[in-house]
Amino acid sequence: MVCLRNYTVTVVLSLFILYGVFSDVFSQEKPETDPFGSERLAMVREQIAARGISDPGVLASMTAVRRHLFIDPSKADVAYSDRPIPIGHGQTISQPFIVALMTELLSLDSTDVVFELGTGSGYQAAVLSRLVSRVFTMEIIEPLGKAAAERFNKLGYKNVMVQVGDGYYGLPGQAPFDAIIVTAAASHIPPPLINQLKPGGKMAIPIGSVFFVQNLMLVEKDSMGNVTTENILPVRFVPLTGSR
Amino acid sequence: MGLRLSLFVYSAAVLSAQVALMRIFSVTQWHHFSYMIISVALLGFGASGAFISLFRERLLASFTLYYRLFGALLAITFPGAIFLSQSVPFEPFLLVWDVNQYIYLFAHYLLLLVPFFSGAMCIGLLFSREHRRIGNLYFVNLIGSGAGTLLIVPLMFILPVGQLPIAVSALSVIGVAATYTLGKRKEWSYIVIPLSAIWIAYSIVSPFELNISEYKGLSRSLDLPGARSIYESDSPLGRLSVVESPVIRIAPGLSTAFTGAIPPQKALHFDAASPTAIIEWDGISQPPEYLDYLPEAAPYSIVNKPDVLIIGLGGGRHLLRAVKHKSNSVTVVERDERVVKLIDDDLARFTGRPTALDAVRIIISDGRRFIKTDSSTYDLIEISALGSFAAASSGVTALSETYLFTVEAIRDGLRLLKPDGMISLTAWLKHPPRDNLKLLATAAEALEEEKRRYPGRNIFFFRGWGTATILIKREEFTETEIEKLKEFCENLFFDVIHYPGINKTEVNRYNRFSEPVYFQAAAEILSNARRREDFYASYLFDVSPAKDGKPYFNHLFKLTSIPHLYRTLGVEWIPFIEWGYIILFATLVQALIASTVLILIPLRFLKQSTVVIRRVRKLKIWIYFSSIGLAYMFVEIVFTQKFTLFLAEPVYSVSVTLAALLFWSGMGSYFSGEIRKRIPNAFLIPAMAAALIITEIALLDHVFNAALHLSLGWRVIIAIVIIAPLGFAMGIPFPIGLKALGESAENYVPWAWGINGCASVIGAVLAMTLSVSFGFSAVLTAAAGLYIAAGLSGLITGDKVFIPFNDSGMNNIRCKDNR
Repeated sequence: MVCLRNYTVTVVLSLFILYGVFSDVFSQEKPETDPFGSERLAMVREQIAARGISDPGVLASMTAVRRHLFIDPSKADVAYSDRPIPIGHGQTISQPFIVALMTELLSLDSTDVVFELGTGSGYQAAVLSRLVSRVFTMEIIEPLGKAAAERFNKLGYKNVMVQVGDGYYGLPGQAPFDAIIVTAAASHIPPPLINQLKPGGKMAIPIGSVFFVQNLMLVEKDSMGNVTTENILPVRFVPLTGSR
Repeated sequence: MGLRLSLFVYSAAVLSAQVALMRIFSVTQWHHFSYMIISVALLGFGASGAFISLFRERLLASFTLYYRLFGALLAITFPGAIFLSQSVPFEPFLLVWDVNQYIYLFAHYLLLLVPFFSGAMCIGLLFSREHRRIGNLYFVNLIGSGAGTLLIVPLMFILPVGQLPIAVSALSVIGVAATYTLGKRKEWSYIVIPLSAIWIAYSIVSPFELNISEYKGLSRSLDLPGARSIYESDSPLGRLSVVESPVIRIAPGLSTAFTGAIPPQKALHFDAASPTAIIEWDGISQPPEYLDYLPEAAPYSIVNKPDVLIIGLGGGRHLLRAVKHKSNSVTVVERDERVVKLIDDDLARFTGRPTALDAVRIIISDGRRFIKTDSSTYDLIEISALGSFAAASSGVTALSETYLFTVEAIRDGLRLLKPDGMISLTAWLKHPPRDNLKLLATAAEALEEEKRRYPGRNIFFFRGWGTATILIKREEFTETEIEKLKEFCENLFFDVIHYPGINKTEVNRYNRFSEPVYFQAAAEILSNARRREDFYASYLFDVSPAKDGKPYFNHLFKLTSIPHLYRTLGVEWIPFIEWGYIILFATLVQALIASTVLILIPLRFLKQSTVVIRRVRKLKIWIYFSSIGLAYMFVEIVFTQKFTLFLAEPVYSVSVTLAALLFWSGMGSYFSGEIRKRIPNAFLIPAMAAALIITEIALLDHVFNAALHLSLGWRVIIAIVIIAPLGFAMGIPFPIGLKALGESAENYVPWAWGINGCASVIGAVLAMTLSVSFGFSAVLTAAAGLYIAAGLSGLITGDKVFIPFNDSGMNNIRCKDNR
């Protein structure tokens, strides 16, 4: 049973790889040799699918986006490791599983418009861009924002719009958004972003330090505009009293 | 005279260097990583023992030269090591993933080892050469170390942290200069003139630019658009920095119901950690609206024009809220005078000076001391446990002692409440639940000790998406109060966790967990003592209450949970560990390994030396010197933490306790020869220290309770007097042991010195580890046991009367002349 499951996962992921490669050819990223294809496949299989991420779109996007192009080339050999990677200015690119989980939690549709607070390297926005219509992302630290904009331009991501500036107030001109993702640590949920979330929309926020995400908060706004939050533990931490 | 003066100054320099290094690493990194690095640096003492053991004859043949040379090396390499270490890109959090970090850490070790090794060489060389006068020299060494502690603390008020290494270097230069009486003037000029030139060069480039970790709050604030540092002040209490930027907005746990704007803020950083907000207010109009949308605002829904006590001014958030609700009186207790001056003076235009209002009374004091000694009564006591979230979530503060969140502190607080008054405690939520459950357990046990049979009736507990608040009343909550608090929670989308008569259907509505974990845990804690104890025992984290004898509120990690966490989570368990605790264990392991190596290496070579002692004698030496080394550090570490409650500030506690302990030990050492003559049974000497430790365990808390209300000056005097007999007794065993060893096996003196140095390093780390797990009394009892073991070590071979290492018949010592 386990073998059959592994076989199925491998087949599905291989299809995603093919999809990723061909979608590269026909759409966004320029076709070029991919020295990390097998690492990326292993990452999706072992770190993401094995931990319960099952949304085919998310798995496909994680398979297609070349994570090693979003970090310093000197760190490319650890790009697909199960860890966050420093990108300077006290920021990191989250561990792949957290990126996948945040993306899956938003239950995205191809017509959706998403706002991201905290572009960082741009990796999260790149993953989102393959699933939705448009991604607006804002980065407060200028060097990071400029580097991400150049990267998107170079890699051919046409539906990601980067702005350098204070994302706390969102983008009223582009609102409302179907989903919002907050990747920068905050002491509170910015009220303007709640206002700019569509009724029925979702917002995902990681809680913890830049290295260790302890839980994810999913903010949901119902059709009446009421807001509820849900705490999602990124690990299978069920037992309340475990060592009895 | 020159010899003693130089020893005094070298000793002062080495101890000042340790304190300066701790301060530097508290700013640039988290202070527990500094312990790790400092403990390795202190291994310089062990290394010096090994080095002198191996090259003793050569070193002593040119004693003056080497005594000066190592003093000069201390002067040059301490600032040099700090300067170079700032360019090593060590990031402790990356140790889990990045092997390069181990190389960087090792580079830190090597850099810092050099100055401490140099300083220890000076002291060790002198002890080796003058072992017959060891009582006198050890006295000078301890007095010098004590003076170093007292000197560096005032210097921290005057000098920026980056200039402290230069001050230490200056001391070492004086130490070298003081050796001039030992040799010819010409020789002296060869060393002192270039040394002074180097020191002047250092002074020109100082203060060194400290390379603060990019992951600390201050670095991140300074990266914000338009950010600039507008205030920076160093003191022994820590570095205070203020950053201004138009995009600073801090509102911990703000309700999602808030739709307004947060007014401009400035970021106030303590030791470069995550900031608290200094809020803009004009001093006239109503304080900002958002303050009422924070969970901490809950008490104001049931109190009317209250008398409020706020522990910790911070950026003034609690004070502004109290002003907003027209409180009858507001008493703010703040430990750091600079914070008050900032709000009241330096940033007066920005803050609107809420501190200057008629109803507001500002008191500069430690919060715990205030609530223990105050006699007024209040409607509301607000204590915030909201430190840095990043620090709390990563557990780097796990080993910081705090006397504000203990059972005894809550009891003191309850005593200050009016009949309808309440204490409000707010802390960050962590998942799985930890800190807040510990706070709840602390409140429950405090109420029980105050004879409240059903503590659950006096507690209202609720949470938002990011924080949880516990309200503790002296009397039971009334139905009207409960209704008002429920309404507050409902309006702001906060979830109730517990109140008297709560129904399960009311919980986990707005900020949902897959299971109502907080409700379930609170029900266990508030049920009865037996179920509560079972819950503590079975829960994955240590949520049992902190007490004054074990004041580690932030320590929640259970070692016994590691197998379970690893089994169920694999490497994903990493976010749940407490870095402070793990680093402490890593430090202990590395200190043990390094010590073993440093003790064993000389032994291997000493076999070929002039005097060989039988194995049993080596064991005696090892037991004796390691026991007294461990015991001394056990007492020192516990006293510095325990006296924090009495002297009200860690930095005063460390300086007064250390200085007093070292001074009295120095006196003990000075009179050790005389005492040795008068007490023929040598077992009694360490046993005397053991007996005094047991006496202090019994007396300390009573003395603290009786004298805590006195002024700082009186408390310092009382501390010095309390420490005197024990410090005196603890100063005797080392010099009499070393002297006796010198008389019978001279070449083993540096080895014994090395053992003692290594044991001191291990003792410091072990004392912390044991205190966290078993409490202060257990560690002090262990120290007493170690002194007994040291006393008994002479009885191993059946000696009726223990004369340390000086058997008159030489039956245990075999002389072998290899020459």
